[in-house]
Amino acid sequence: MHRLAAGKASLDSSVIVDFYLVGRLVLLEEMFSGRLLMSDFVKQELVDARLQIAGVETISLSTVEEWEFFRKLQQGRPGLGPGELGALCVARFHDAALVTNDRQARLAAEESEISVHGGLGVLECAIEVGRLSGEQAVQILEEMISQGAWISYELAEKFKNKVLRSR
Amino acid sequence: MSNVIGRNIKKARESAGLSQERLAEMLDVSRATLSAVENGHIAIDSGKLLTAAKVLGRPVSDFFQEKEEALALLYRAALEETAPSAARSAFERFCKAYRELEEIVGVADTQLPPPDYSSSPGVESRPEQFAAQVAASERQRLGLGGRGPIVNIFQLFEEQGVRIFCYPLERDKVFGLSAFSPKYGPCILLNSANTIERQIFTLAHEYGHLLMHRRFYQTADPSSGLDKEDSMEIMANEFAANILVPAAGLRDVVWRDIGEKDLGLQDLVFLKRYFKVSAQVVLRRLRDVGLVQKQHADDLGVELEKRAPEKQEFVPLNEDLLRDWNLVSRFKHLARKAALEGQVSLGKLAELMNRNVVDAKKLVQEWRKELSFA
Repeated sequence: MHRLAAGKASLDSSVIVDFYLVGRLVLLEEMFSGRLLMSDFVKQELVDARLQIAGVETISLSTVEEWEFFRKLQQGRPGLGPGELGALCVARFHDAALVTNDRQARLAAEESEISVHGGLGVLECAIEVGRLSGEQAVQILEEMISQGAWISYELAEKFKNKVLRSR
Repeated sequence: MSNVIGRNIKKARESAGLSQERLAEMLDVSRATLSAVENGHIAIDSGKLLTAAKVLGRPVSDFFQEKEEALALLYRAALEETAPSAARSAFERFCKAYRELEEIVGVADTQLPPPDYSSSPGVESRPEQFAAQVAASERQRLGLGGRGPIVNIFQLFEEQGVRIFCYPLERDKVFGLSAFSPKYGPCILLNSANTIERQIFTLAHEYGHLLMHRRFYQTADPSSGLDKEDSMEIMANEFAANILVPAAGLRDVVWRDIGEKDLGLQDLVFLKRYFKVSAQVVLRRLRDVGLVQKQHADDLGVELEKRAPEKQEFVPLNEDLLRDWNLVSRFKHLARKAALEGQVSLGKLAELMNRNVVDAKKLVQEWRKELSFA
């Protein structure tokens, strides 16, 4: 079973914006219904962009331990913003997978041994749970790339080959 | 981290002039809780921190800074006009974002600041001559020679390490302001609601302050702008006039292209386009250099006022200068480089560029398209 098919997920803005720009925000809402966690820093970024996503549980950082982890991440990767740092903290302290299309956030997650997935993982999982066909997933992927999603060419090609071959 | 956040909340609260009771009320916590947060005894809830950021008008990342260096500001404004605090906040935010980008990209401290003349004896003993002398010396240092026009003053000064921030200020009598700190270097805010001619003069004027009055940049929160008659203001005006329109260059052009007959409005248009300044600045320089008599200059001044509606420029320059500078603006280059090389996250880019995440994403997509079509 795909790691994103069960368990909690902490999303950052990058993946939400990528799905939003291709009009597929509802896919995220349905896929992660009842298990979608969001740092209030991410929520604030979405509010600033007048973007709404339904069915999320907003999580605040409040303990010394959480803030110390936040600081450690920030010092290690100054290219991360409060939203990504918050999403990483939520993933770490709430036993959730981080879902991001951001390179810096992905690297920070790997360094901290946080389970991390991108938009491709969401699409793979959607196929696995029967929410999307392979063709639909490939179409969404191509739309996302054309709208600027940061997904490597090699990974995208690998995904397409795998999905379309297994028809 | 609790200590750092608490200390920064306290600093921001005090700088906003809010009492602990008032901020506690706004955050819906007791005064004792806020006091414990400010003293680093307890950790703040991030939701409350976001509210505090909103109430205090600061980006949330300001509260995570371990050591913040205040910018010392010096104003240039019409009498009794001051830059609104929103503009000052935006300016400070820009200066910090600029520095952060330099650090992320790895090009911090690669530029020497312009020279500091503020301790030279001439500053006080003969201010106007001193300002003219500094302008001539700076033209030589910058390789401009003693005669020609400055092709693009925005680009030229940015190459000298000046951070230039264009921001529309509702009060159009606030022309600009400058700041200096050892960490951020020289920074200039220009009121982009003013004409391009005004912006050019303001840029030169503030640059003059940064060269001649560096040691006066001591306060982060001035209560008012400098008086127009203040000798520092007179010096900065003198510097700007001399660096933009050097006397020798003006004489050359007048003798070569205009001749000895009385100058007319068409000549002012030619000269303002040549030196890229306002018609008023040209007229002032013609008078100062002795190329027109006072009475004739006054008559031309009256003619200019008749022809140019209030707050508008006579035969305005086009804004190619700004467009060309924007293409090579160092701040934008650093942001583009950091984003395209994946050195900053989407959220960080949005914060640095003062945009929301969707707009930041679209901006990055534009940059990527530029590369794919190149």
